[in-house]
Amino acid sequence: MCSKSGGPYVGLIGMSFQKIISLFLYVPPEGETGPCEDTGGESVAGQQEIQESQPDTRSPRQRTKNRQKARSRLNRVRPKQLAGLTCKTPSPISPGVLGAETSSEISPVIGKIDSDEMKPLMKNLDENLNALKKILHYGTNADVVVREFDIPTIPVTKASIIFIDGLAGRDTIDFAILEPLMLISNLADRETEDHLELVKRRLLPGNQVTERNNLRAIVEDVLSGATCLLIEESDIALTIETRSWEHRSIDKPSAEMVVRGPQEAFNETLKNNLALIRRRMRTPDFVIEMLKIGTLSRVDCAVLYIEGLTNPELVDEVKRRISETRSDHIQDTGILEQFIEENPYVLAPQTISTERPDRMAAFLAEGYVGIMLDGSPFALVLPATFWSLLQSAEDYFLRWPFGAFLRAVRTLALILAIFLPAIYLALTNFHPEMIPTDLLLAIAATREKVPFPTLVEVLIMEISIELIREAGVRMPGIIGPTLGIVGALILGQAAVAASIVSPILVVIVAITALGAFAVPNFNMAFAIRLYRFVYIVLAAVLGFYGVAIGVFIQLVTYVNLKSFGVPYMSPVVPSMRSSGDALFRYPLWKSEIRPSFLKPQQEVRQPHVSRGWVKEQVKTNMNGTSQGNGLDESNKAEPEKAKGERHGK
Amino acid sequence: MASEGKIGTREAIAATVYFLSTKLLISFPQHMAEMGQTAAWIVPIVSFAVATLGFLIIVALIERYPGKGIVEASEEAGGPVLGLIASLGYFAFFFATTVLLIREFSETVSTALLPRTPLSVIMAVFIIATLVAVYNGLEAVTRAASLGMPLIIGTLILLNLMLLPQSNFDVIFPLFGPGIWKLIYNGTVHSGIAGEVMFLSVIAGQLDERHKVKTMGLISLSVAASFMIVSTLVYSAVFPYPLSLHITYPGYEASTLIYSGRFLQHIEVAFVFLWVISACIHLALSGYTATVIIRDMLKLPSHKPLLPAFAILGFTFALVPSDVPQATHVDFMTVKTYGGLAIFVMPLILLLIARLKTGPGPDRR
Repeated sequence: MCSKSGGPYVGLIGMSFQKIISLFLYVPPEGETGPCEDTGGESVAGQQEIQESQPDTRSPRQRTKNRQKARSRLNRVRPKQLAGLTCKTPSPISPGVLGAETSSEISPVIGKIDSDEMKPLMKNLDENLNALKKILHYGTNADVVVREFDIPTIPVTKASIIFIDGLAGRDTIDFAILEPLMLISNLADRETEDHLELVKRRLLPGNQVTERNNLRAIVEDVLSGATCLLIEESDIALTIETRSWEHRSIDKPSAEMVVRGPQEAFNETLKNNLALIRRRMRTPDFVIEMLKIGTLSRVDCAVLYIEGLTNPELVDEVKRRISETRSDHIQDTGILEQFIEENPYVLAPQTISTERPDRMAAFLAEGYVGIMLDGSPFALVLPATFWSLLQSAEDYFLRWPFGAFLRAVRTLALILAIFLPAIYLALTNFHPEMIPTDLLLAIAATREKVPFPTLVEVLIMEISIELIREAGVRMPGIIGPTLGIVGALILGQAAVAASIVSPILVVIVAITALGAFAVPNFNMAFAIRLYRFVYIVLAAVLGFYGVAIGVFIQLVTYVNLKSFGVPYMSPVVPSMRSSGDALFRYPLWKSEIRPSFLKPQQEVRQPHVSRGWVKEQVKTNMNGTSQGNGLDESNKAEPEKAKGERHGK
Repeated sequence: MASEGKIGTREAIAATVYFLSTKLLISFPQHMAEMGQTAAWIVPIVSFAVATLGFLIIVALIERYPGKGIVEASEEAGGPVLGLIASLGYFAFFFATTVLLIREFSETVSTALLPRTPLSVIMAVFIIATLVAVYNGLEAVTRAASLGMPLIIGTLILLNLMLLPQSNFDVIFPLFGPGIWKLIYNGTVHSGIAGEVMFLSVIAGQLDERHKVKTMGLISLSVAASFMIVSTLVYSAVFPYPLSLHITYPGYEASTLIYSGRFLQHIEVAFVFLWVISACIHLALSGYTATVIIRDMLKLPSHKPLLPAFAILGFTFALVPSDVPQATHVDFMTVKTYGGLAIFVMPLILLLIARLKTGPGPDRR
């Protein structure tokens, strides 16, 4: 129209203008479902509830209104500083209800849904089967299996099962579904028309059988490995738990190894991973909520927390961010993390990733929230603080002086990994007077033959180290570590011999690399590698002044950063109550409270005197009775110790 | 007032202490010697005592207007004209402090670390760092101050301890230098050296525990005064009067005298490293206070749009003094002298007017 009235240029300008405006306005694409339109977001844990899916007779205006209402309900929790919130009152939602209703209410399968999928089941088996075949592209899709058979009733009842070859267990289908239905059904004796009920109660020995009444729920179940049973003249289908695919067995941790402590790590199967945590967290209050994410991937995403302990605002915020994530394919927590983190432009990791079930259980017990994805061997823990990224599981498995020492070593490693090359550059280029004379002469002598300026020398070595590291990771199998060692040794030696770099720089780069490896969090170690280059440039341009300015800007950025509303540097700044478990590690029996920045519903973790036996011993000794175990002499000092413990708190 | 996050008591105190005491890193001791001669360390005692009285007046003024900062309180008490004049006075003090500190800190860096780098480059980098901090807001700046507080306390204690072998405390006699009345006069006139305490009243609306503003101010003044007095005393003992009149950066010069064995030498560079961070925090605080005063005067929703203009103005004005002595002279002899009038006397006048208008107690209108 524009081009007609004002020529093609006006039309073009108009279109461009509209395009620009559309960039600022979010218009949901057609077919994208709102949170309330989801009817099949049940948990894979097998809740056996029927979704009451009535044909939608509401007007479009009413539907829009309802959708807006639902969104406003979802948006009740805004990203804000959770530290400032009081969450003393327990959540009104009971754990059992939360697991089922909340997930279906706020966790839509995000993205475009085929309108056929939303249809309810009919009474006609052929119609239902054809609809499912159409949705699953039966015939084209090689792994979709449809098996039609008769159940021996009088007259015979037609039935069909649908499953995905490879996801569903063949033996289970043969011996726990087909055999009882086809061979031992004996339904002829029964004078009842409700075959479905009979099949469910008497003929399906599977431990999880769920009734489904809409195509979408069936498709979801089938695609996650369940087998769907359709029966003639029934508008309800049964999905039977038959998931059995090839998977890696539970292995040792590869990124968070410890000498002392459990040696189990998550693998790619969500069910197994959740069981690993449940084994360590046997309270009924440990809740696993299931959401689904990814238009194409439709991956199960588990949100983990302890009901009655974890801050409900934090749980809501985590669920809100996940459910508001709109993407087609999210297959790993590493991808999900990028969608839900607060500030994507800061190098600092804003979530904690772990592959250790014991660590996840410990975090949950403190009031953190966990996220796990099916297919991802790494779980996310939220929120992250700077200090938690320097902590390792082993800190707690060792006695406290050793744990505290390890943390001090790691802090030193962090400082060396970021600043050592920059300090070397600043000292040699700008402030040589600081270097002791003997050392200065030694450095000068070794650098005599090196033709490059120090900056080039440092960059050559740092880039070489990065190349060795990257090549070591990409190299197959056993060659990787070998290449790393050979590359580092030979390259360093050869570079010195060829007068490309000075020997002292090889030492500095090696210490720096070791420092980066000593940082327990993989993401943090990555951030350090990048920060190091920034500081090298700053030191090369402005010496110590540049480094100091960089430190200040980093400091300001970090103290301003928040992870899920929690200040990144808490509990140090802003100062908050904690067990002192930040840079230092106190004795575990002194760690009486949970981190207050999480605003847990139960702040106290253990009583004032957690070592109850000390109290008992004091009582016994005060009553003058002997222990009678021959340790009287050694026990004489205990009352004093116990007093110290009570009064020193 | 724009809604920014609330800041805690600890952060507020740390920021105010930083604000008050970082001038030790520049030519503050030299000017104390100028005013107090051998009794240079007594001048801050008097100045801080007077500033404490002034601060109590400021608190009395803002307590009349619950929920409001000093700028709004001044406007309420004095009306639009007098309130505007008062706010301009506060702004002038903090803006001049920022500008002159940029110059003085840059000159220190130029002297100590980068003698061959153009001054304008050093200044520009300082301004960029300040801009980033002020853009991030009060929470970021005060938390950075809180995190850096152990750093500055540690540095000052270490520096003073390491200077003890070089100190000769006989040179602080005669104890009262030019005479006790002269000391009291000089200290009172230069009470503006603690004028930064007004910062607490500017951000009063953002304090988590506003009712504790008086306590916060008194603690900050006491801690900062202790730093100033002890450090000036040690510098006076290391550089006796009148030698101290000719040393522009006594802190830096004193650190060059530290001898800690054959291996560890010239550790002044390490101190300068810490000073740069402290200077950045100070500049961020003063820059933030100046922009927030203008924001509140103009009733803007955010201070962020003002930042580019302030950065350019700051850079330009910082280049105006012809050399360091002129910059430090203007800072201590002009800003810190007449600044006291704007910071402490103006609120007193406004308080009196408010009492005449509405009587004692909080304004219930």
